[in-house]
Amino acid sequence: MSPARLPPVAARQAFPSRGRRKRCWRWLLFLVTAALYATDPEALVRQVATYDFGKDPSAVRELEALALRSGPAIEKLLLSGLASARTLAAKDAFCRGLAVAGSGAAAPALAAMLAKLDTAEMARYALERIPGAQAAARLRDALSRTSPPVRTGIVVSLGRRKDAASVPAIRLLLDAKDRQLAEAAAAALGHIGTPEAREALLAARPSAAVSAALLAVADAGTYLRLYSAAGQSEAVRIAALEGLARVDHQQARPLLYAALKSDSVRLQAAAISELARIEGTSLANELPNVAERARVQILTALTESGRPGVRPVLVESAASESEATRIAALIGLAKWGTAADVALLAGRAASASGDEQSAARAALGAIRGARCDDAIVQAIPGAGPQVKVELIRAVGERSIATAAEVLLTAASDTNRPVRVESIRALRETASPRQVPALLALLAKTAAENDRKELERTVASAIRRSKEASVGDVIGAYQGAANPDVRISLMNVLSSAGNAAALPLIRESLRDANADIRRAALNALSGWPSPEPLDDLLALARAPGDAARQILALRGYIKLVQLPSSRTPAETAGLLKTAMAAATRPDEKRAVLAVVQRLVCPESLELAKSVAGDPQIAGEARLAVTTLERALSFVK
Amino acid sequence: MNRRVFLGAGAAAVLRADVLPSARVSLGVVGLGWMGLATMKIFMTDPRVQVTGICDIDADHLNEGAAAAPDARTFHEFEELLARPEIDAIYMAVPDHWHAIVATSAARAGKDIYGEKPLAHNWAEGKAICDAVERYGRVWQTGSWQRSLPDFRFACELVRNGRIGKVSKVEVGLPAGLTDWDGTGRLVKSGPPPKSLDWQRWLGPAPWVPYAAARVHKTWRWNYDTGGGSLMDWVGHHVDIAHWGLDLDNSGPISVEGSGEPSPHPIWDTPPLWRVTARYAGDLTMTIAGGSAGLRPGTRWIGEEGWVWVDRSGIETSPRSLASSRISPNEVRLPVTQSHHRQFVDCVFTRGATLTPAHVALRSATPGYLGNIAMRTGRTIRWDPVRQRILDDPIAERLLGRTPRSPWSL
Repeated sequence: MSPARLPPVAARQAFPSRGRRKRCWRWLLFLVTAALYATDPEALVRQVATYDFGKDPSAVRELEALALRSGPAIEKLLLSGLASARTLAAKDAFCRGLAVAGSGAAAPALAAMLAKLDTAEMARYALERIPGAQAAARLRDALSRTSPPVRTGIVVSLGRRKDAASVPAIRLLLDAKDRQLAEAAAAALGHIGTPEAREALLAARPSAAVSAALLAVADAGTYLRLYSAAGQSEAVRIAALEGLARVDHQQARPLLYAALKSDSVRLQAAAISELARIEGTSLANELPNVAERARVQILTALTESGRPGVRPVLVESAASESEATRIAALIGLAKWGTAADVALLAGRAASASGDEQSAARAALGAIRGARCDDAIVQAIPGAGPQVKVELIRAVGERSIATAAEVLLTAASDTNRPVRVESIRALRETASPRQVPALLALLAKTAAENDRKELERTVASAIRRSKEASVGDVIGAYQGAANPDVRISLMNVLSSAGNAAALPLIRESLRDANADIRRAALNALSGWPSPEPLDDLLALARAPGDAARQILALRGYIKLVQLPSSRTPAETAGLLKTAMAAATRPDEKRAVLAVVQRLVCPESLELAKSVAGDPQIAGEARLAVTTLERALSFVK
Repeated sequence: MNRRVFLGAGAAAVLRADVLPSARVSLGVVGLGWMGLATMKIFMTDPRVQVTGICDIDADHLNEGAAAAPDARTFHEFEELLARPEIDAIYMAVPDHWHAIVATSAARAGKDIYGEKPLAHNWAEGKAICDAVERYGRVWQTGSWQRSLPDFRFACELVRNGRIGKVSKVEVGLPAGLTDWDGTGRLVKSGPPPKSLDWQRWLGPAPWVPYAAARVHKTWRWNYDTGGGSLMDWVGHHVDIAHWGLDLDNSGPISVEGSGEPSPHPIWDTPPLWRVTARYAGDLTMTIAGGSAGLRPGTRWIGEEGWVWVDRSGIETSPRSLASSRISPNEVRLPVTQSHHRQFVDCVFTRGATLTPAHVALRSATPGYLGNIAMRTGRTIRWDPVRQRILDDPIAERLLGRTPRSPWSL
């Protein structure tokens, strides 16, 4: 079926230039055909009347589009086409048109097709969707005149139409020997859903299909019957119990409590879900009486129900002997916990392990309310090391900006876990205002690991400002004598990605200290934007140090892949430059890997240009094949 | 981004026994093609899951599945698999035109379901899935797994918390359609199906057509009888994320218009390039385009004070500092999950809520269903997002569903 056409401008933008000529011809052909048919719809109908599967479908698609856009206005045309159709495929096409554009006037012709096996389905496809009494009447009439396979489809359609008038005829089919027909009859009565349809289902011999249909039309009595009757599947009993709980929870309550004690864990789970809704937190009274799995489900259901009073239940359950119960309670406290639970959660996070520890940490990070933040920050100074670590972790998790000073103090703690966790938490909370203090801390930090943590924290604080100002870092670099500190500051500058730092980094490329020169190169390679591309290219081309050339080229390739406003063709140009600078197969392959993902004619050209290079011939051929295939389809 | 602690599976993770009749979740897999086989292997990495039954109507696919899950029983027809009482849940990766029948049958059989996106072939079938899942109290997870990735969650949290101000525009860039994934695009001639394939069953509820290789397996999406083009392929990802960010999980557009290129392919009749515009209450417009040079792949919300863009390669914001900002517990925080598949398994144990229940999937897919209808009719489709009905266009309304081929019904 043809969609509405895009405006030509959008089409030009979307199609790449390659293959445009071929597509233009297709377009031209389509437009000419469409124009022809638009002026002469009868010619279109004649064309469709001879259509067969495997032939050019243009006329069929045009007919379908016409039907969708014109509606009943072309019904007569479709009917004349149906009468003259020479193939099944053509009849199918006209029936599809009538399915959307047909009215009662089409019903006689379509109903006549129901008599034949090879046309019944396409006719029903249309008749089912044609509104009004005529189409329904024709379908009903056909019930007694058609063979079981066709009759099954008709019953389905009458059910989907919710045709109440067909109930007397369909109820007779509930006992049909043909299983599919009997099941379709039950389902249809369920769809129709009138009192007569329900009565017919209640009177029917029990079966899975009848039960399923009854569930669709059930009242409290029917649910009760389905739940209590022998031989019903567990799925039906569960649905019936849940249905009863929805329509009459008073009647359902004793059954739900009985189900809570049943041997069926599935039935038990359904009972828990409904009781949590109906009873709220009083369901918690059952916690001591049920198995661990049910306890978890009760706590989960109460947590999700959002009923008031759930918190005390969760706090009590958090002390359970069962690990699973404790975890379910902690998960609940993440949603319903308060400032009063800070000590419990921090203590548990410090003392537990594995999933329970994760749940306690998550809860400490998630409990809501400004008082929670205060309670956490205030607890830090007096806490023992392990609990302190958890509280500080929570500060980071919760991004408590007011805790910066407390964290800066803790970042100099003698206990290393406290120190490291504080630096990490500052990464989440520190603002540009804390950058000088963090730089001072970095300058006096001897342990390399701690300094690495601080590098990331300072960079993070800088990035949080709109301008990513690096003036303080440059000043600290110029004032630092220790090369290790300078390297750390270089890493910070790279991570911040502010162009104001580039002159300093360029200067450092000529530093007397080899480690600093190396750090400067790494800083350019790790830059978060493509800005230093030219610097890296110059280093890659510069004679002398081969290792530097390689590292610079790798950095260049990496930066080419960063988001930019370049066109694909411009990016292909940069990759061409990189390929020219590459001398080793590793870097050539790295370039090709990027080329292969850049779908444009220029990248294909580049891949072809290196196909003769014996070092990378295989990769180049793969890139050519991939790009040719990608370009052969509209992108 | 916050280094938020994963929360959700904890309780389920320590329930190693007696939660279900079997010690583990006994999983049946229906559909072992491209997606099905790969995702089955993901489920098999969860020690709480045991794949006990697999089903496909292509014997070659079934054999591949059996090699990957040698202990599983094999089935040709999904009804046989659903009849196995030991199976607790199914993973469903059949073509779109089969989704509703398999899913509603599974719900009736009391199985929980992880179903691939989009929810169903058409809106009415999606609604039928929602009704069945509700009626039978089943756990449903849609394969809109981007909701379980940190970048997408964080992007949505930024938007939800007003960090870019009032959002007036959303751009959703999707791939073009008609990609010939398995090189069958030129195999359009009708003929007998391969012996390994049960063609009648493959067609199932779709209108009858003769077999052609271009219709099946990796390219069925490109035909309206069995799929919905690249729009419906991706609507359950990037549009789903767009909705999540705007808290539209229980709402939808008020009007949808669309246009697309006619397909040059003799079998694939969905558009290669297309553009859909959905308008929502509150002066919000979402543009969804496939293969458009002007629209960056991914989801981009544009607000009064900036924008947020996200796709699988990362997140970008304007101002840039937004990407480093934090979402506090007192703001809207969206659920953190370890993995989409594991979260489904968690919920099978705990009976808790999944990240992408069926009714949410229907809402996420609705702009796609309406977009295709708008493209095909050439009209703007007006939609009542409360009653979920097309307004004033009885012809378009007929396209919300379709007649299943006998003997199939919902």
